[in-house]
Amino acid sequence: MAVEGRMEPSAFEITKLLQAWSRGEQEALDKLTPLVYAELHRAAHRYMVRERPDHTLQTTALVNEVYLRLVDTREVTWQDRAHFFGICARLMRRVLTDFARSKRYLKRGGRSPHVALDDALVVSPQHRADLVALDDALNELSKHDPRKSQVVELRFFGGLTVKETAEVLKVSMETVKRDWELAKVWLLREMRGERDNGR
Amino acid sequence: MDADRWKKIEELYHAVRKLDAGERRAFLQQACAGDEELRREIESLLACENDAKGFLNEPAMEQAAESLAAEQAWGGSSDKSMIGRSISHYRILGEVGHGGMGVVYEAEDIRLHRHVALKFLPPELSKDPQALGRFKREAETASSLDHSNICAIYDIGEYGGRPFIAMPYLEGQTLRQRIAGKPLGVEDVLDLGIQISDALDAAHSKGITHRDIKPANIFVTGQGQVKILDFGLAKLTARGTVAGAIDASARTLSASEESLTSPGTAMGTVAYMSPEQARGEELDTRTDLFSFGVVLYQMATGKLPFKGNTAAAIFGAILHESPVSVLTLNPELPAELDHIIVKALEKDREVRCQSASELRADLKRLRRDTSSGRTVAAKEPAQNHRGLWLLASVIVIAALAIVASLWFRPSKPVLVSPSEYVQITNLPDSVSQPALSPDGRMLTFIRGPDTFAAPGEIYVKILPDGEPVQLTRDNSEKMSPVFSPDGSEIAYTSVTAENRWNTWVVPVINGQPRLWLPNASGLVWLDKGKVLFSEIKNNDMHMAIVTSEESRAGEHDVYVPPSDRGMAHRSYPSPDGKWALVVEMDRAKWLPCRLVPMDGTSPGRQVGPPEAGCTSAAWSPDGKWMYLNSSAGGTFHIWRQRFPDGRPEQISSGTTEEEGITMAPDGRSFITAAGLRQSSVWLRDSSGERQVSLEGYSYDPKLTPDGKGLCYRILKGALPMSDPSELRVVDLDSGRNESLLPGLTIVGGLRMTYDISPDGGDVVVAVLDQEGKHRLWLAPLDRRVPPRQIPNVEGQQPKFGPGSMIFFTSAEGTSFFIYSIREDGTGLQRLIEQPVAGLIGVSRDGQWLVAKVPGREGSTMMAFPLRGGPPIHLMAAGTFAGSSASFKWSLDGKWIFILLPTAEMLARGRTYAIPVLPGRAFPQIPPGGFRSEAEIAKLPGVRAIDAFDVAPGPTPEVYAFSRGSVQRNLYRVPLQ
Repeated sequence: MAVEGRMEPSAFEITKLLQAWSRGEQEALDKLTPLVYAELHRAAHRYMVRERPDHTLQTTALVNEVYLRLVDTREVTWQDRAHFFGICARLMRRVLTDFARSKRYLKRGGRSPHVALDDALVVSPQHRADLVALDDALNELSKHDPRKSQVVELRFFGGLTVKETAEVLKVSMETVKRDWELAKVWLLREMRGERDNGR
Repeated sequence: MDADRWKKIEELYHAVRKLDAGERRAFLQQACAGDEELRREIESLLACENDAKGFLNEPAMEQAAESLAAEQAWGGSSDKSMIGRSISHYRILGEVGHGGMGVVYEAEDIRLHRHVALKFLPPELSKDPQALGRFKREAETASSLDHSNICAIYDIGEYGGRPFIAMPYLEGQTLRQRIAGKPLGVEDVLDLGIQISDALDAAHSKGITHRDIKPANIFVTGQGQVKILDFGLAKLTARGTVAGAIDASARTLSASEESLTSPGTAMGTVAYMSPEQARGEELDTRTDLFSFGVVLYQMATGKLPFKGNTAAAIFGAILHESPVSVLTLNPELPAELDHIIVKALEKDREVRCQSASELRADLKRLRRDTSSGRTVAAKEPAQNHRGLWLLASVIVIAALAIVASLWFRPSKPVLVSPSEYVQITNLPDSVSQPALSPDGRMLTFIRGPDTFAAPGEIYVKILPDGEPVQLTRDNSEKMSPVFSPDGSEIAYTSVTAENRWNTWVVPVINGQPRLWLPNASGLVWLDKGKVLFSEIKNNDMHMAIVTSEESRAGEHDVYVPPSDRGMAHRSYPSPDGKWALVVEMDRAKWLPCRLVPMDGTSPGRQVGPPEAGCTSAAWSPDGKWMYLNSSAGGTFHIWRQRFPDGRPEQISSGTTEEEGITMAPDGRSFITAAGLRQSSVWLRDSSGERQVSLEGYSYDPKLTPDGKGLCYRILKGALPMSDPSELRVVDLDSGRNESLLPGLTIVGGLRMTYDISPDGGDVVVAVLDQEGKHRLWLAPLDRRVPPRQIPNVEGQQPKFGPGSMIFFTSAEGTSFFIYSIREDGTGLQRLIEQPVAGLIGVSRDGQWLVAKVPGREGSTMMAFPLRGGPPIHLMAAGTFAGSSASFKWSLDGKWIFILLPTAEMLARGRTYAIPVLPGRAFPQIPPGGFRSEAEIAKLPGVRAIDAFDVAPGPTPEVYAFSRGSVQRNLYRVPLQ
């Protein structure tokens, strides 16, 4: 999965790949995916060696770092910065969801469920948002409210701030905040399947 | 979905969210007007409101990385090679589970031919043989109880440096898996509850406390039998569960998350902790009863009673909040169960139910009554509860929000009374910037007027009673002495007149100071011959924190202030070397201290009281506390804050100011400089000197042109340069003393903020508005009409020019220029085309304007003729021009006063009054400007005044000035 031993594409090439992907050329994704994975592994490694005991400091820094590594924004002139962020966020969503999906698959295909004697000690991924379920719910949301789905994509997957999201979508920050609030409760409800229970 | 419908839902949802919980139901009923589906839709969304707060808070990348890390730690990369291996008399069959605490293997006991589980504990545990022994004894005792609800321990061994426990291999699931966010049936709650209380009763009666009762430690076998795991383990692992949990609080967790675990480490679980546990107090068996109450609550409702996004918030809830009644969350429950849970969740253990047997009896009684149908569920129309529930959630959320920002209250107040300080030095003037040697037996400090760079000398003192020994004698500006790791030398910062910041070293015994590293200041040693220091980057005003070898090889940036006028002056590495606390200023204003990662990967964030200046810092030896010097509240005191994001709490208080912190190696005390600074405004005339100011720190005087009135400022904070001040006006004949611009905030250094018009009618002042912008205001000195703002302009350093023009400086990009404007806000124009570093003054005849001009060699002081012509240099670059030196004319224009600072922050220095010839504005000035004080002091007819903050009167015999004093000594402050 990691790209060790392989030359990583230059910032310029990555830009071209992102543009190609946004035009719908799927092969570009095959080349971009390993880059995001490499970042993911770097980030995971940092957790493991506990270089960052206080990660609340780093939450946005990490995502920004990913952008900087993926594309040196200082060198690449994008016609439309908003467009760039939009594509990056979509790329993140795509790759991370695929990643989560593959983990799910592995678990199902693997040995029968562990009998964890002390499962509080297991850092279980289900504590966090299930990325696969979230992806499905987002698709559902985009059917009747594409903008809210985009807000979540940009903020959660893209790691953008409210302000940046507002710039990308060309709406007010207030709108982004309202969209974010409603989208979150809607998605939560959708993911829990509570919709039909009525309470 | 229909777009209109969706829009309606959206509008209603946001409208309801603005309402108080109590108003919501009525509003919805009315707004939905019989459209039940719409109402249900909104309510179902509102039901997720609470959980949504923590939802998606972490970016997806971070979340995925964390999961991957956890998996790699114990999953993907776990030691598969263990399988098939023999350990002692066990053969590993497979991996059962893994977690932050360790790995669990399924194994066969080849001697007894039974199926066992081997649980490996973290290797750190084996390093404390005493603790491990204690654990073994307790585990064995618990095991020896041979209670059917306590999981037996067969064996405790060690393999490859890692202790492990052998226990029965159980089939079933933990209570945590069983609950999984959903309430259990009442019968199950009672049945499991009775078994748990039975196990606790058996253990408690032998004096064994579990200390970590939580669903994950309660196993339920396929036959429905409870097995409590890990008796005694908590004591072994959770020495400092609170501390561990605090570390864990750095992690943002979703509100629904019950345990705070972190990849690769055991952190303890805070949601089940008793209040006494959260406070870190001694525990007895009653702690288990509280935790058991939390478990009962969760079994009954599927939810935790004490929730929060961070460990801090959860602690806050445990310590101070009453949980929502279980009946509110689950109306099916018998009311008696609520009573039982409430009794177990009493925060004060003295009024909590006192024994497990008491709980067991209560639960058994309830089961009897329930099964015989005598207890009626406390059931009422669900709708009523719904409203109540919403209200309750809102209250809880609000409370959590408050608590999250406050941290939990410490068990004892941390303020140390000044009466407990132990005096270390007793010098008549001022000492500051103490630093202990690594062994804590020697102390170095600066004897000088200021707590920052100022003229002074380095001293060393053997503690406790040695005479202070002077090590330097050059009267240069110095700062931040520190001992070398071996204690043989002291490194300190020396600042030259050219504003060069260099590091010098002087041997503690017998030796001369020598220059060590140029362009390096605030130096401290790190491990392995590395140093951490400040370095000037692009311009004189931009200073970053860097690290390198002692040879300066391998230098890299740790923190570079984002502003090109930002100066990070001091840095304090954490004991583990991973973090640094940074002291920085921006445009001469101290900022709060900053916590930055040593690897330079992020600019970190500010810590300590917000908005207040922080001038020094220190760490407790265990790295758990950050000690900070903060001017919050207007005076400098010592504060501390739990690393990384606890709530700042004040340690020192009182009428003195404390600055500088050096921690004793045992962490039980620190040494600081405590003192008093005062300043008053005086008038000197033919009858001598008299004090004009009444009270408060008074400075920055200016006489009216007729010499009958005087303005000055009173500081409303700790720092004359950056804290707010009040402008006063005094009638020198009557002594009447009033505030000129009540309610307006004036911020700025000496001579920067106001000017009196040549006719004595008005004052022009730069006032800081609420947006943080400097606005110019005009106020008549007689206060006959109210002050008014000059419209449409931002500016500082206002001066009256000729013909009622006002000159001022204003920023354009990163440069400052001088502008002029008329009093009514018209005629705005740039006066001088070149950027300046400050507007100093205007000559009495209105012909000359004096300004500081930045240059490659440092600032120069220049005079610009307002009628055209070449400027003249008053002070050469790299001399006093870079300081707050100033030129002023006497009221009759016949003398020029040159003000030279020696200790700027204390308004210390000398002033020279020099006669000027009629028709001239300046005396004879050497080409290129004055270069030294000596050149000025030998001018013909010169008079020296022993003050710096001087306001010239009509003649050199009459002037106003401020007189500052400081008395400061070192004290040892004990910590509990």
